[in-house]
Amino acid sequence: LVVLAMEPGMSPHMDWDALRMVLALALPLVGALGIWAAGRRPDLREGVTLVTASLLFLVVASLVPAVLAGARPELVLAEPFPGITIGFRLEPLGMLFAGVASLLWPINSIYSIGYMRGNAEQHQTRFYVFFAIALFATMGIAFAANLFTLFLFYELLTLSTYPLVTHKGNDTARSGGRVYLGILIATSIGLLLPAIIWTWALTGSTEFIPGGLLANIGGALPPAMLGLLLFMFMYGIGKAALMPVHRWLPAAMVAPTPVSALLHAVAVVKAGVFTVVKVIVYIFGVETLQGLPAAELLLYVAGFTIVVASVIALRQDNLKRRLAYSTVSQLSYVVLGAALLAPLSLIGAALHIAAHAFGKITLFFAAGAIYTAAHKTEVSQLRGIGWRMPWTMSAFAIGSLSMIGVPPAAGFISKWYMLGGAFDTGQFIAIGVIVLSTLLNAAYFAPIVFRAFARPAADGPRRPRRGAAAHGDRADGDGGADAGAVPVPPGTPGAGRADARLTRQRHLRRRKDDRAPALALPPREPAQAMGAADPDPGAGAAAGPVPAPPRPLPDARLQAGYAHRLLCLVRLRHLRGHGRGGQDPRHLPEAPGRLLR
Amino acid sequence: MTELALPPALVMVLGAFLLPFLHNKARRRLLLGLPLLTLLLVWLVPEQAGLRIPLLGLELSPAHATAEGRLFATVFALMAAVGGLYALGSGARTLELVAAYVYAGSAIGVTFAGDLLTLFIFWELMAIGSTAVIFAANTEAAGRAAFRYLLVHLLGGVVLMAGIIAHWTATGSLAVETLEANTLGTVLILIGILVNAGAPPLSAWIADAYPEASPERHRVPVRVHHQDRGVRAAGCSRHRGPDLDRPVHGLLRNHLRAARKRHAPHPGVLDRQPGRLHGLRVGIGTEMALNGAAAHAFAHIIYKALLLMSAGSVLLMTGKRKCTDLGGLFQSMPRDGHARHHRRARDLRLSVHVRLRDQVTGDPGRPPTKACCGLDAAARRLRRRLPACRHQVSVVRVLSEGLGPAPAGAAGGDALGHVAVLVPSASRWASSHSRSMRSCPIRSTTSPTRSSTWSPSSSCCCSAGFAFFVLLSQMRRTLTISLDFDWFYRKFLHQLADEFTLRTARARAELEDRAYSRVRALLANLYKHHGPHGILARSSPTGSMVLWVALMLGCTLLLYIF
Repeated sequence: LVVLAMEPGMSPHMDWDALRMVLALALPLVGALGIWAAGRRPDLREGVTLVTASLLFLVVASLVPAVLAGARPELVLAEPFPGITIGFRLEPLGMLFAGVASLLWPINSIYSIGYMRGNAEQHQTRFYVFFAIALFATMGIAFAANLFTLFLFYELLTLSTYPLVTHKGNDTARSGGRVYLGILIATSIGLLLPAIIWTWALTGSTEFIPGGLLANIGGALPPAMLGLLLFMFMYGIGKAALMPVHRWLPAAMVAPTPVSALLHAVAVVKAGVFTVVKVIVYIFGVETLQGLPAAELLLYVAGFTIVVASVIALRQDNLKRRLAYSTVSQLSYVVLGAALLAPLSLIGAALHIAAHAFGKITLFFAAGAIYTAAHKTEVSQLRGIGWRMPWTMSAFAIGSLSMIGVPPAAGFISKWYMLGGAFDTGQFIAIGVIVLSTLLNAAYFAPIVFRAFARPAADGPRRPRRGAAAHGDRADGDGGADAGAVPVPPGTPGAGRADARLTRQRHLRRRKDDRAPALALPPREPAQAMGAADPDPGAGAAAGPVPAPPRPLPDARLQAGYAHRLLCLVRLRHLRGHGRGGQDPRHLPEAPGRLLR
Repeated sequence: MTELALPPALVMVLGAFLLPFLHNKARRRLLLGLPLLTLLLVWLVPEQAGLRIPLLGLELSPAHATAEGRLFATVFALMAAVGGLYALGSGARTLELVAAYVYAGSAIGVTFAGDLLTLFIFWELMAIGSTAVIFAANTEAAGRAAFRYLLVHLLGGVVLMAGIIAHWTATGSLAVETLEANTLGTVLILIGILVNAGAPPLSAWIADAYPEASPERHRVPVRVHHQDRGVRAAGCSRHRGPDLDRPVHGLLRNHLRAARKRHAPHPGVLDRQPGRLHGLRVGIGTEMALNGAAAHAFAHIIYKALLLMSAGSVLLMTGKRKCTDLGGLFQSMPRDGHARHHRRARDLRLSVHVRLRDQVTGDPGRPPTKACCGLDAAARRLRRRLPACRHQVSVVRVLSEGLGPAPAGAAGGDALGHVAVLVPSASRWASSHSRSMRSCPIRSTTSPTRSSTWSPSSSCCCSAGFAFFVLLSQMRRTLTISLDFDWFYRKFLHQLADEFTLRTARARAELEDRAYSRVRALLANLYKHHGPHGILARSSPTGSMVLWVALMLGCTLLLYIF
């Protein structure tokens, strides 16, 4: 690779840039091998993951000054067919994409460690290996110098994320994975590959050329054919999730939350919209598409997707599905920005890739934290969760503001440029779509935040206390017995000490198990809590709802009250003994969020 | 020569986020000190402040001092200080206080915005703060009201943003200057401002949102910022549009709305003044009108703050919202009762602004506007006097032994007292300054206190007095249902979304059924012919196959020969 990078005629500065590009490509691959080799030692395995991710970010970040200074490092890896190479060239758009992905990988890795350990997920080595391979594919897409190279890494990204989507291995995961793979492979093989071949047949090349590869053939292709080619590309890039090829995205929500973050923020959908922008700018060329009816049609399709996906998101009660349809909508912002064919809107489209990545990863991390800590997956279940997880839901609120496009969040900047482009080109439909979608975004994000910070629900888990276990989620419901000790959500400061907390969690659970029959009693049912007060002691053990006793005797009620107080006292001592902040009454489970009280 | 200055708005907004981390004394000091520091900075910002912050390739100017900006910012900071004093020792929650200070700080940011982008950023920040303040009531109704509030606010915001961008792309300028509503950008800017200021038809959201707020919320009376920053923003951009349509519409809507509102201590009085301000001053667009708008908004902030704090105290201590339930309140909460009387008294003290308006509308070429304003004045007096008399009677009457609760704390009482003193003082100050126009945004030589302006006002008072006695028996309030524009987003849009969902789901299901049936038919056909028993794929005896091959070869031979 190094030898290939040293092409004759390159300056030493360029050689060093190309070398770093090679390093950025090779690091995730080497990291995947290292993770696989360290599979039996989880700490080492995750250490390799973190080191690799951090190194990749440093290498990619070191390329930024050179690219901003005008350098365009190139690298040709192979030439499998005459005139078709596997080559890489770094340009600003690819730099942006690579920078975003490499920055979010270490963050996602930290989150993944907490999530995977906390939820006791199986096949964690496989998970981290394929995650690294997915990042390798992402770097390949970002650096691709031609359509052929991009297609290879695009397919590699699809295939490497399939095991991640189906990670849980149950029927639902397999079904979701089938939809995911089926749509992405069918669109890419059925439309993208023929479009690439057609382009190659027309121009004899697949290289990304500033100004557009197809601009060189002038008017050789009729507008209808050009439009057909444009739509073959747009729908062939299924990862951009233009309707109606968007259904893989909600289907992939069966994946663990770190994978959802990978799909929605780090790599997969971003690869789709990045490819869309790259094809429009470097294959067709902005001037070629200006005045083309198909380009305007693409604008309408993107606008339709934005609005309809937002309307569908309004109706989703499942939090991750709502976020998924939000992603479908937000991706079409990028397509809309590109289809406006104005310099400002293209800047907006590129910036929206980054803005959406940061906003959506925040939202998914919050969703995963809620699931891990409180076992909640539906929006309707989130009432009061903000008082128990104030930091998590505050982060969610900030991410929502960015999605809506409220200043000073990042989403505002991309919307500003897109609206500027829309006014430049006089596309009032695009302006209307952006205005309407802003309201729709608020309409489906604001209820989540409002519900989260509404008055806490009467039941459910309580506020996390310091020193409690990191993750209480267990497939066998073990975590449910520990519902009173909702842990600190991952992603928050201190989440990296998952191991120590896990150990403490097990210790707490063992101690709690000793009192499990008492603690499991519903506190508001004194007659059931006290066997003596139950007129039919056997009924308490029976499955199904227990009929309430006709009139509990006063002494029985009194006994039950004493018992409940005793249990509370035991619980308090338990907290004081093990929680770091147990002495402070504000850290009692009943206390609402301290900061926002 | 330009000088660097610390933006007061940023200090207040950023300082607000320190509140959650402070407790006890430090928190109380910050609560009082932050608005006072901001007030100090408001007056320290030099006229030629040169602070520039780069964003989006532009330069933001968050500390651009103007006469009107300083005027509004002073009042906002003062009210925030009084609100902070009012909240001391109360049960106001951290979220509420932070949101209120962000709200007030953003309002100050709007007044010091030197360009439209800065104005928009603080505008949207204010939307967040105000929504959080409303939501802080933590009731179902408050949540729903806050949601509607946020949506309409964002609608106004995004339209404003679109207008700013259109103006920017067309002219390349983001300067706050006189804008004529004759281009797409300026029209959108005007619409955005009007939507957020509660101009008709999108005005019900304000009256819906504020009554649902908690009693504690009235301890931070910065919600007056909402209305007056709209006036300030509109004055900032100095729109000049059609002079008749908006005033007439605004006035009619004001009276209709006021007539149908619940007889509650606080909601009905909230949204009339901005309509009046917009409709008459900003809508007319003359220099005198803008001066009148600024003066009126200044006075409005102060007396409305007093009114809201007293209403908040009443709500907090009694839990009652209807004035008719507040019999004997004066005995228990005399300071709040006094405050409400002060509010009534301000009509006379601030009548200079009314005369200013009368003079503005009396310009040549505005007879319809003048007529409408006359009607407005008469209706205002009529509407205010009659229910107000009943209200005052019910509050002050001595028949009851009182409601029992004590006044709303020492701090709250102090704040009420301060603002009560501020009302006459400020009105004196405003009156004297109006004469010389020293504090007005636009220098004018015209005096609003000509003797000729007294006659319309006096005639209105006479007509109001006459109407009071004649129509006294007709003023009984009844339970009514009024249709407003909010029906569209409360009912119509919901039904539209339901219908859309239903139809699209049905269409999708139908399409999928058709597609699946076609695919199934195709597969069945393929299976029929190419399946194990199909004529094209089934196994045949070797002999017959040899026979067929021989025949085909023979045919090929014949074709080759001939």
